[in-house]
Amino acid sequence: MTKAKAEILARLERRSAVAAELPSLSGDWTQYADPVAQFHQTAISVSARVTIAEGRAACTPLVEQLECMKTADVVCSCAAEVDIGSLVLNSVGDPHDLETLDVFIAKGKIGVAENGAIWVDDENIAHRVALFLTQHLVLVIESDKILNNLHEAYSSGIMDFSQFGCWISGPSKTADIEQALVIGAHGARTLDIIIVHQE
Amino acid sequence: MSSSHKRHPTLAKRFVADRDRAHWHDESLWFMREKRDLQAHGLPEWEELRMRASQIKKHTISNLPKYLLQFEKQATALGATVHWACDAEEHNQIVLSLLQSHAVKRVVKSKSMLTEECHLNPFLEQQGIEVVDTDLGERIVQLRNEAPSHIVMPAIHIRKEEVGELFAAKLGTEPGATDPTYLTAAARQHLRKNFLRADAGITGVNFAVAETGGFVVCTNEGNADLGVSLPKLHIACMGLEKIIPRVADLGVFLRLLARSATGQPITTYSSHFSGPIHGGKLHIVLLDNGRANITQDDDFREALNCIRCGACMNTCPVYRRTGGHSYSATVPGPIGSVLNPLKSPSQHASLPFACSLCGSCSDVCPVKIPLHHQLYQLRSELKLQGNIKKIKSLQMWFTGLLFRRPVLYRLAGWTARWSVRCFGKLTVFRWLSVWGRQRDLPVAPRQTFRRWHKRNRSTDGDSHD
Repeated sequence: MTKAKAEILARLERRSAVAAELPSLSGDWTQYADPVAQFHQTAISVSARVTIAEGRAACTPLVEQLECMKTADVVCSCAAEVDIGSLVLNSVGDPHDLETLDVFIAKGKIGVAENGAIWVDDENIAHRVALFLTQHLVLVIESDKILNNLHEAYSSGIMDFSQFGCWISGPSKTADIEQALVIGAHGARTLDIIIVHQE
Repeated sequence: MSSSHKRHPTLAKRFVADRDRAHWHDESLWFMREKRDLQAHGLPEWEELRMRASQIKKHTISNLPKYLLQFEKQATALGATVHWACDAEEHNQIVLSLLQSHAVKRVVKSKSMLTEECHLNPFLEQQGIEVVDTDLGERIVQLRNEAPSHIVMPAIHIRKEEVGELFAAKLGTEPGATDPTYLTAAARQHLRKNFLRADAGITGVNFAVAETGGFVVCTNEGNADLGVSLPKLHIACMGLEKIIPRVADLGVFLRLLARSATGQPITTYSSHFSGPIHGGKLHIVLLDNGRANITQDDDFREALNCIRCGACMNTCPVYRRTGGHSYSATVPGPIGSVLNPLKSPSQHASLPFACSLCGSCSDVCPVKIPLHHQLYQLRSELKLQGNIKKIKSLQMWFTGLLFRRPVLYRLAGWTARWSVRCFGKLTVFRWLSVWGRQRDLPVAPRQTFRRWHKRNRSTDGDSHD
């Protein structure tokens, strides 16, 4: 044990702990009549664009038609549903080479109706920086993976806390200059969400 | 830090001298408060969430040794290295030696109030390491050689015209350009270059989870993720109080944080780091710097509940009208007026008095810190420690005397009414009394309430008279 650690623990333990119970996390949290519709609406309110795909097969053509694809040169997809792109992420050795990435497509594991956020982890993404360095991001989410709120998400068993994961809600933004909202700070300048309804 | 001894009223005088700017600042922050209200009122369970958050924090702070050790064990199992630092100096030395052992020349840093508290940037720069702050607001204040004036919106005190001038000089933007979209795009290009050439990334920590050994960093810009996903070295700096017990507790805190801070349902990015990036290194520095002492204090322990959302600043009538720099502290506003005097009472003794005790801060605090009660309590502690000005002590003593002696009180009231009638505004001694400088006097009434009551309402004569 380092000297600092011993000293800090001694400072903290000078007196016994004050009794304060750790509360349960179950509660009467808001449920939406239609979580998918709520998610759709919230995602738009945080400046994402939402497209509905009827079935997995519909995803690729829908992505091809997105506004961000029109001028894109370097496209990469890590989502099994979307079979397009010139770049295979696994074949990239140095993540700095992703500087020129125009569109990156990834699969989200959970969507949250109350805040429009999508959980993405790096299980199938060799370089997680692709999520942030790309100019435009496309996230694919299955409609039955859309939950009401974060409490449901954290207790769903879907999230794996042994690897990197991130809630992404909308494109990157800032309001640091006179509180004027500017979309496209350092991360992706646009976010397209494809909600996939099961066949 | 000579300015750190300046008192709030002295520093605020500069800010309020520019009436237009002070008014604009006030309105900008009130706008954030209104956005926060919309989000808070939109959730029926808001009060329940605040309650749970407060209970989780109280429990954690009371059991910190257990949770810190659990966090260290779990983070180590994920492949991270945990360091402990008693004070700012030790913290900075740890960061420096990590950077030096990895031969780092260029660092990108996302927003971290803790590294501001430790004055890490100037320390590293003295050692020849380039540090670039990557949050847009922080980059603006860094280029101006200033400290942030708000913990969430560091450049809230700066006009877009000033940002335009700054960027024209430093980043080569069009002179005279003031459009926030254009200026942000220029900063994006400038900072992307820095992300791509950085040798290491430093981040703060919003929440560290004892159960998993992971931690969460929240940004809207994506700068933390870019900063630590390209280089192979990530150093995360956190205060002891950032620990939460369970990963599912994040459900409560992430619902509260951005809603309270900026009126968003959640920040754009809430990144959960679990061990180092593939092939890289992750070091976590746990800093005490006065926090452990606060855990021992029954009156002020709850100040450590703070999740740094800034809602208390946005609502505070004094902060809004005097600006963050008037506090001369890394964390300004109501929570800063509690934390700073607890750490160094003689330096920050004026802060608990920069408060009207309106209680709005306590009402908006997502973790239910009784801020205005603590500010009130701190005033008497500072008095007992001899940390307030003699003249203020004397005034307090005299006022106390007046309120204890009804005869003296009535005599003083009579004298005041008489002198206001006879001498008018001269009574407030404008050149002597700070209080009188911005105030006018009411017309003195002919009779007192006491006399009126005696004549009109009293049934059994005035037994108290």
